[in-house]
Amino acid sequence: MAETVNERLARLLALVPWLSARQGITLTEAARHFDISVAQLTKDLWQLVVCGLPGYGPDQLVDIDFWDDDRIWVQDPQTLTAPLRLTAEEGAALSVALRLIAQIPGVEYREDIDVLVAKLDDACGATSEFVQLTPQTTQEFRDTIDAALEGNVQLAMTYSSGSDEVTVRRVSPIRVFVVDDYMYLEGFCERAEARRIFRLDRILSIEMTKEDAPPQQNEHNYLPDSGGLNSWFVSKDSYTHIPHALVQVDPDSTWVAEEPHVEVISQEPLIISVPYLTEEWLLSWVMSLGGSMQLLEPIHLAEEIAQNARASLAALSARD
Amino acid sequence: MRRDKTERLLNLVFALMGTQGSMSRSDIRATVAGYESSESDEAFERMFERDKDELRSMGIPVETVFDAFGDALGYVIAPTTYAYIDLHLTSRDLTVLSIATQVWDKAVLASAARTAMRKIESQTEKSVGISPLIQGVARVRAQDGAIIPLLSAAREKKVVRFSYRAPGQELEKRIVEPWAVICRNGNWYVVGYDQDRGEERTFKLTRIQGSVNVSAQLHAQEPPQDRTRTVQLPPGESLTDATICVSEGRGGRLMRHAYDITSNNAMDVIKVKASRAELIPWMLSSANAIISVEPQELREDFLASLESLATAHEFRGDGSG
Repeated sequence: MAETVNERLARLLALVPWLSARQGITLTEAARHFDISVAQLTKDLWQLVVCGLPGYGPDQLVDIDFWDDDRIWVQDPQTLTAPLRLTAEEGAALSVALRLIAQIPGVEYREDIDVLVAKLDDACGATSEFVQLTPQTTQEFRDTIDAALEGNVQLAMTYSSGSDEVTVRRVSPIRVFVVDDYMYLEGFCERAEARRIFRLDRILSIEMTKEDAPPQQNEHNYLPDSGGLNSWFVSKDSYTHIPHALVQVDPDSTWVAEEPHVEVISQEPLIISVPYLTEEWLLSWVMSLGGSMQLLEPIHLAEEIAQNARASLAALSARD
Repeated sequence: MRRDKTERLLNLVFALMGTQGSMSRSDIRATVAGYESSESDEAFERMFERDKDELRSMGIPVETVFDAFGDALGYVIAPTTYAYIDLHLTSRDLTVLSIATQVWDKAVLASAARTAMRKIESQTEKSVGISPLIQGVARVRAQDGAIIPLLSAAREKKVVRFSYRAPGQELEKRIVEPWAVICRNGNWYVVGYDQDRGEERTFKLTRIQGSVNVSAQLHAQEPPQDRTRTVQLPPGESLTDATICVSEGRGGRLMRHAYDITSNNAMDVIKVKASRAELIPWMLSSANAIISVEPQELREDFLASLESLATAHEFRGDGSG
């Protein structure tokens, strides 16, 4: 992704005071902190040292040494002795993120977050009034999951799956995380006898049991690959190996084509290719969209949809 | 090209921060590196206007200094407006903030959050590493960073313009007075007053195409007291109070939105209040498990959807069946 002039300028301005506070830091370490390559950082520094106050004599230019054993020394920062005030945008980026984190069950430091958000809003302008984050879970659910994670206790829950099935499960919770705007609970599911991931907004009821949760390895530092359509836990490389369905879409349901991982095959009529992991999910998905989408392939599932719909019609009509 | 522009902007920032009082346009043109190459007065004026606006849009406070007669004397970035405000952060605060910078995925917000963190760190001795215990908590797509311009516009009561594609409609220019940005069930929306339609409207951020332009024009309407009230249903849709019987173990989507569920004889009686546009897909997801539907109009809608679903998937016309 190409960097905009604004992003670059914001970084250059932040760079000088940050380096001044860390005299002698290595190029590698500084680059890592700014999430750029060493080559990019070197370019940034070369750019900085030719800038400064009008006159542009030796005493007016920014002076930074960065050629001895990879270490950076700020000799003269000119006017950039301290960072510029946080902009409204920067403040909002942090405070909205903090408020998102505060909603995640089991997250540490929740008490600190409120105080921090207030500090940021104070310094950069309020965000709270203008951003509303509707939790994907109730306070009660959150407290239950919090307590179960804290006390290592199994949870009993009723869960409604992606294919609309409702099951009762016992789960030893491992952690809760957010990917692409959805919250998930990861845990060891007794029913599946394996680790499973549950979307929090699909949990119908949840309560603590008296049973201890056997210790689970927590691999905290990974997040599943992003994606969507229930397939995000499949790594990108394997997309080509999982089946794809061909679907024709009505003009007023074109939004479907914008979903992640959907590929447009033709425009008129609009035909898309959709990856799917299980036939149950595909069936349930196409069915839920009514007649506005027509499954073209696999053909046996299209037939099943027609039969399902006919059978449901017959069953319901028989009750008249 | 880009290199030159960044350099010129940097030099302008240094000059305006370093000036005593203010710097006139002619001083800027004559002394700040990057402007000397302007071929004409007009070319300089255009370039300087753009640069000034760009710095302001980044949140760098370029102030105009006026004389007693109201004429612009010059420009300055004054210490009182740019100086960093100390947030008095504890090391715990820094740890929490460093997680916040990890939240945004590939969005404009990611770089804003990162720069913010580097500014904050300039005031402290230590760099903040991420505690492995709390890494990997969240990653959010923050749909195209439209959140930030909309948020600023809501805060500053500015009017915005953007291209929007409503379901089943052509792309249209919308002029909106945004009130608030809302995240509901993983989707981001902006609520506000649609000037052309003369009504409160809700827009889904993923349906906005291109960028959001924040104009200088101020809101003409007062926002409601409760500006973040729940996302509105499309106009004309009212809520249906439905009672739906489903075989046990099915009807998950209905249950998620239910206000009452009773079970008897391997059957769940689900009471749910929602628009028909929502209810029909929830019912279709478990179509073959639905035993009865009330009220009658909803039942008819549901039967009609089943009919069109069946028709769309029968008689495939490939002659092989």
